[in-house]
Amino acid sequence: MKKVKHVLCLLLCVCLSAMLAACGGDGDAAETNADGVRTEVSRIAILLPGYITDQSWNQGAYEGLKSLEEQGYDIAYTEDVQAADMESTFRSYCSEGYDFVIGHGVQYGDACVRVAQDYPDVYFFITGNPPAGDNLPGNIAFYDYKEYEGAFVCGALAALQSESGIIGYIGGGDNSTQASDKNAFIEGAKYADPDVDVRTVITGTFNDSSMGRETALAMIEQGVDVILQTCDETGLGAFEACEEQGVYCIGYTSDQSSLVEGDLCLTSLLVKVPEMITSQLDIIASGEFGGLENPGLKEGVIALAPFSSAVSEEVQNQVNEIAQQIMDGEIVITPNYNSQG
Amino acid sequence: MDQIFTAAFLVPLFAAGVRMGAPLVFGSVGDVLSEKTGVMNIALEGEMLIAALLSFMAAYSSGSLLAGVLVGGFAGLVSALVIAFWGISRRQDQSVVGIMFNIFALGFTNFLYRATFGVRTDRAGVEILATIKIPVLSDIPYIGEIFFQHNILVYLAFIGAVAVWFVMKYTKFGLQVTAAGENPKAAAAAGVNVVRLRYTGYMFSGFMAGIGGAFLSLGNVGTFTENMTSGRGFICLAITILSRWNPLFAVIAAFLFGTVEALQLRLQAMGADLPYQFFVALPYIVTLISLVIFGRNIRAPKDLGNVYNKESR
Amino acid sequence: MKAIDSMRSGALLRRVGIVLLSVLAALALGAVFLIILDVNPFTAYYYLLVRPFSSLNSIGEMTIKMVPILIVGIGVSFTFQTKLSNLGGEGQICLGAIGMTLVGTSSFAQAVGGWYIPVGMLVAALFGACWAGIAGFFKTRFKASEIITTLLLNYIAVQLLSWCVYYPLRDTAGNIPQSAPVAATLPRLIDGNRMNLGLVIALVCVLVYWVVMKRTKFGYRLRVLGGSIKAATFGGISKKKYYLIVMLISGAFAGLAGSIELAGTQTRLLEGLAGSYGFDGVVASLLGMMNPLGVLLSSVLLGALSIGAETMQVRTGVSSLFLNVLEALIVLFILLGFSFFGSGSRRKSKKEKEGE
Repeated sequence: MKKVKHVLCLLLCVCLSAMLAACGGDGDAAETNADGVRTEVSRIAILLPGYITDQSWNQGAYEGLKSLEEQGYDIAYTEDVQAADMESTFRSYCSEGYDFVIGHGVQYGDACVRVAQDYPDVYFFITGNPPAGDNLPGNIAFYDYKEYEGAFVCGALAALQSESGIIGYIGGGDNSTQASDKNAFIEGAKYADPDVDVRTVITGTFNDSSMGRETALAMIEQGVDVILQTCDETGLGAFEACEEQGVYCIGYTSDQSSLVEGDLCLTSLLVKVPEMITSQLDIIASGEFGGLENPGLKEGVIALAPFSSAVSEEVQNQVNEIAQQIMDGEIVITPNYNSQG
Repeated sequence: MDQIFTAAFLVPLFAAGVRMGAPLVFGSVGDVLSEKTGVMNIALEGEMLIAALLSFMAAYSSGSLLAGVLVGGFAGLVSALVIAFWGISRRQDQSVVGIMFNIFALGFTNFLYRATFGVRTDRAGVEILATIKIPVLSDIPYIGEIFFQHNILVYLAFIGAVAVWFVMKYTKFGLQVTAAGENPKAAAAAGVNVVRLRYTGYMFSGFMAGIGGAFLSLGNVGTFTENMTSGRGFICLAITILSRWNPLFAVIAAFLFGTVEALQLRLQAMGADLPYQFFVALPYIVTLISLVIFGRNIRAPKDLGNVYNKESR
Repeated sequence: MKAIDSMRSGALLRRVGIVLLSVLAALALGAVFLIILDVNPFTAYYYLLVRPFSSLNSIGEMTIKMVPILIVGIGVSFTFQTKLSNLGGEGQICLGAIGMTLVGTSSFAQAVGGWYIPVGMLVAALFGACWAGIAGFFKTRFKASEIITTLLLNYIAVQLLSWCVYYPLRDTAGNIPQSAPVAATLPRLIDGNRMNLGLVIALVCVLVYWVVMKRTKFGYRLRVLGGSIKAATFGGISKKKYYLIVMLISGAFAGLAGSIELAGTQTRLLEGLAGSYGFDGVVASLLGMMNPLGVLLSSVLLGALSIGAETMQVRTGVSSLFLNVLEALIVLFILLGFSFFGSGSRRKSKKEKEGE
């Protein structure tokens, strides 16, 4: 029995000394605190729902972050943060002295609100619409970009480009961004060509590229000849199928034309994720951080990548005109966040 | 409904079922042999994932898809060897070792992929395996399109299944395999080297899973994406049981799963008015129900999952 | 008496030694990866292993991760006792969370406030038990392998939860696919620390498990059924009944874990809430060799690793996926260590010793 006590004593000592050492470390982190309105941040962290190699939504954020690193900011990121780990990841960034923490996706809103209340000195940014409720802390900014405006234009382009009159949309999941994309894509297609037939599939996964390929093949079988995918890595598989079958596709988030052979990638629905993030720093500098922004095509946050040579001049003009009409407010799209069947 | 019962719908559907089922055939046929010797390969998922990456890396750097496929198989085999050391030689619980290996594989492939390719905006890709039309057979109406217009690995999956079935049913080795899985002590008494058999079975299973992994990266998308197996390894385990440890039935079960998956995509695209979650879950529901219907009262190899200890009597 | 004591402490020391050495070996191998990544392994390991215990706050964070792992681990320990494997923790957590949400967002909960929690937990346990019961029923009625059915049920449960947050349980306010918040959250144990009542519940679960296994006839029978106690006959006990019961029990525990995750941490039902707790629970149970204290310690280790990995990522930029590699190495090396140097070097004999 004595021996056991001995070991316990030893263990206790080790733990205590570790604690002391760690407490010493905590001291440095506290120095970053400042009074009044903060107009400068130095350490930026981001929580990503997927992997930085997806050549899409997550990689865009990573590139934005990289450009900030070049400007001298201290950056960090965590990939594949699922619901179970959201809050603790936010908290560990905050407690490690990061002063601008970004949740890259609408799903991070709730956890962020809970954490933001405990860390009033830290700025938070959610790339999505705010959760319901009226007591949102002032140190969070939400960025409800109108991705659906781009999807509307893509729908119009797809409808105009299609020869078969059947076009397709592949989504990864059905969160509000994805659902509004899907609905706007259909709406835009019908706007350009009321008789167009739109096929939609939700694969339920953002990182199963084989599934993406099979989904696209299934659509192509049914006569689809233009496909928009908004599902990151799953979408890469869809591109493979389009390449194989010589079917047009539309990229997502970044200009993905280099990922598809020849001129098959008509354009990409650009979501300027890097700018989305970097622009927040200017807002912080102006001292007016917080609240909800609602930018879209007009503000340039959503845009179309340069058309490929497969798109005729005439179609290009028509599509550009539709985009212009949205920017001028002549076409008003009501986002539909509900996914039906 | 009218749209569904037409050749234009059904033929490509079944062809897609064959295509989507083929990687599963590799996983489960190997697992059938392994389980027959008494070892369950819970680590299929991890073996496939590692092989998917390594086969892609090999194909990318050598420019040869054949080299890629072989490296994939070899990667699976080596993974299985490592696990077998824990599970067979060191007599640890096979499921915990397998689960841990799956967890390891997810982190390891992420590490290796980043270390090799970095985070890049262009796409490191290779041409995917070409479709080979089997002369004459591929001209048979319907059947030809369903079965004989695929890439080489699809054919290999079928050939492999038949070969394993033949070996298990008609050779002495097959008898020994069954004996090792049913009653290892009696088998050992009859002069069978149970440990060696189990190693062989397990490593064969790893090899097959490796080819299945190569199928995903080289046969389907020509690149590696993180966690690209997405649970297929676990489905293989279900197929093994559904097949009643018969490699030929495993082909049918894999085909069933692939077809249901292909069907749900097509039904969604046709605009069936149900929540998408139902479609995504459909293949799993069908597998579960078929386990109950076709898998009832089946008898697993008696010593499956048990550790074999030479010394104990 | 003295002799027995010295033997026990000797065995304890030996075991602690094996664990420490195995962990060290795993860390050494992991360091190779870190060096390739150009990260100082000592710094990384400090954040991974020491930091989680360095302040009350991070200990609190650790308990948040540990509680679901522990409760699921206790649940699956029941099934492992009978040599059944319940790999469906993830699905059962999802069902438990759905059950808790149903109660927590009802008008009943609005009326009674925090008192809905015990009711919600019961419902959650019931939901979890039913979900595991499907696998148990298939096992006993159709002899369908529970390893496979529980795995398949995971996929279905994840989609079921997804459907719930998109359709029937979706919060009508706001455009986010998640349920309305529950009426009240689990009370916290210390002000300003996230540690909540879930920890107490988890510890009670450990106690319940210990009492059931060591002090009741039921527990004795489970051990007989699993073959960890050699009994002459399995006199008059229906195996099937017990198989079904342990599946129900382990499902109930996982459901309870889901309800704590929901009411303690998430406050709303949303996708991805089960995380990796399902498999972590299995690992905790097996690593702890189904011993109550062992499961507890393993859960602490897993919880700490998961918090530590976040800090490590923050401080050194090592992807938290690296944790997967390290966690696997640690567990595999511990198993290896015991297989070589464990008392008698045979797992079975060890289990028997602990069973008594």
